[in-house]
Amino acid sequence: MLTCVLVISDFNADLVTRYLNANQSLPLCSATTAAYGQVMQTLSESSGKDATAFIWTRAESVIPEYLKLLERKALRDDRLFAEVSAFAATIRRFAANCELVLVASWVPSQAGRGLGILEWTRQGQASCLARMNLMLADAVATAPNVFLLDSQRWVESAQHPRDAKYWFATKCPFTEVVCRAAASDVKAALRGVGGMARKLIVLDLDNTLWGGIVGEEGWEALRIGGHDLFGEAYVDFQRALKALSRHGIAIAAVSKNDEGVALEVFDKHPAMILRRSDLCAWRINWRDKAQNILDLSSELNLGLESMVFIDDDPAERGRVRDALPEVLVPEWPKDPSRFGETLRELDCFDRPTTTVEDLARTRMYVEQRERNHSLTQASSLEDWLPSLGIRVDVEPIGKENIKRSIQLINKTNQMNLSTRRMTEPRFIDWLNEQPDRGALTLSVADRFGDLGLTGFISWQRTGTDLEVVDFVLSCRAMGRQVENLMVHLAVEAAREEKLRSVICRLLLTARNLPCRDFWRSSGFSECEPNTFIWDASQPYPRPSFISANRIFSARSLLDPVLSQKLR
Amino acid sequence: METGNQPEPVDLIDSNAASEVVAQAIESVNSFRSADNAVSSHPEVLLVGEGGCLDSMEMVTLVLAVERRILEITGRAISLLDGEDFESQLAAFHTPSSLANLIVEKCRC
Repeated sequence: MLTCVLVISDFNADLVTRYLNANQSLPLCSATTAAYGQVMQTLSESSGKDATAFIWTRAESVIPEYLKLLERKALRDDRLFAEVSAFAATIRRFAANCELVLVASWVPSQAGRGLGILEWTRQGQASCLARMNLMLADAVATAPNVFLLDSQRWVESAQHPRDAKYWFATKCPFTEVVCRAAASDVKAALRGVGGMARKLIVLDLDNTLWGGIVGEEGWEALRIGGHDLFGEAYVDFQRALKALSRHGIAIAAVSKNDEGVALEVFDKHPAMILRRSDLCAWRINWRDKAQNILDLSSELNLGLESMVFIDDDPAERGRVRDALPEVLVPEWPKDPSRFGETLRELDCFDRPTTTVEDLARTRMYVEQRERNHSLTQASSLEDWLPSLGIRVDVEPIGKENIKRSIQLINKTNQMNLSTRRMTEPRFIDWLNEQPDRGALTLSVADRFGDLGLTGFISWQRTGTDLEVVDFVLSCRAMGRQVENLMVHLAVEAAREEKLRSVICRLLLTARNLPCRDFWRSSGFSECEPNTFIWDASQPYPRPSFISANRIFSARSLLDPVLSQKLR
Repeated sequence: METGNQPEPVDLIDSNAASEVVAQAIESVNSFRSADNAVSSHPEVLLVGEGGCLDSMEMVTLVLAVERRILEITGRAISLLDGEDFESQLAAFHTPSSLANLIVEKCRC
């Protein structure tokens, strides 16, 4: 499916449109350029319905007071900021009808020294643009589907970012390299918002995480830290990894080594930034790395498309690329002093929000490992499930949990009934379109730890039936009958409303077969292919071993007051 | 004023290097075309004029990418697009080969 993108600019931004259409990374785009130079008209008149828009303007074109500054005329701060505020308000209004709006921050469109040593005084261009950008960022931040992109990075990516001759010939102030970087950032943003951000870095160890081969040299002789060019580079790389892990990107190790010898480095080397506790999992052995990555995927219940594999050895990279094309395998520099910056340049981790669940991802995976271990110790699944002590906190959708809910809807593939992808405003619109729509979130915990908000169900009343619209459960919580609890909640809601039946229509994709398998074993009748029905005169059994800390009255689930919370 | 022998013109860039610069510039253009619509850097492929494969935006991007690359390599700013009637200059931009010849000529001093 193509993502429609409207490129709106006061200059000739056709190159950005062309780059978006030519770029074959997912999601594929069908980009068009809005009428040239008619930014305010487009923002004011276009409905923008369901579209993604990318707005890239020159400050002097949309903020008249800033143009005065460039012409060295007297500048009035109050007017300048009023104009920025009005521009931001126009974007917010436009965004109300859009799926997603991306706005480029302002950078100087012409090369030049400005006022020289006075550039950072209040009349200087640099100072003024910085303040305008801050104000614009704050003003659009109130709209959940508007994001400011840092265009300074695009400019820095080019040896020749601007070319006056190009401007005079094409009316594009930036060269093709800058336009390409802009299109790449738009694609990265689309991936992030669409739940396609990568979640796990799988790392090689020898000569990737540290310098040297631990099995041959011993951990004491490895190059990490110290007064050593490459030693410092490996520390820098580890710091970059650690920063990502704090942002919710989990780290695993896959290495051809003896496990005990390799793990000793994490435990004993004083200069290591990453410690064993920073690893959510590892496969340290002499097996094929592609196979080890598949094992990790299974252990963590995480799809290959969520993984990035980093290895200094081009042969290993090639092997994983060939065997597991879903895994992102970036080209990796030979020079360790480039490792940190190469990692920081990867655009596969962009996300529109960072939730509590993201920040706790490594801990959750470690708990999952312990959970899996306990399963191998149990005599049967029936014995194991009650031993987990599963607790579920059921909450109606609200301001506190909507961001995580949207992230869950957009990221989940396997246990996802409709696989519909939505932005926050789009979901709120959907919820408020009809008074008898409702949505619940489920936060799951057990004796090993907190899995976070991992379940989401929404429904609507259709005549005398209750139709389940979203039925989403993170793979972290699958297979513990939390699914059955969700069905129980839906049936109870229908029963309290005296509805006739509960209907569930599965939109089958290549990746939600587990969802179909669940519904086929759920006890519902499959009245036609992938449509399941339950006679609501009958209760649906609730898993006895799951304690639900807080279940709202089922009647309240269809109460329009709840959805008003999100207006 | 002394009117002795004129110095021999010196080529700052030879035709092979000029062809390489043109090929790199064509790659720049190809980066915003779909893969199945990529422009060949074969010396005789028609770039502009009747049957040419580049539109005006692509042509300007190509030529200015060449100008910038020449500046990087030789330190010399050349102007392939000099504001004169483009139509009259068209022959020089017809093919990668003719463009490379123009580069060598402009880089002669």
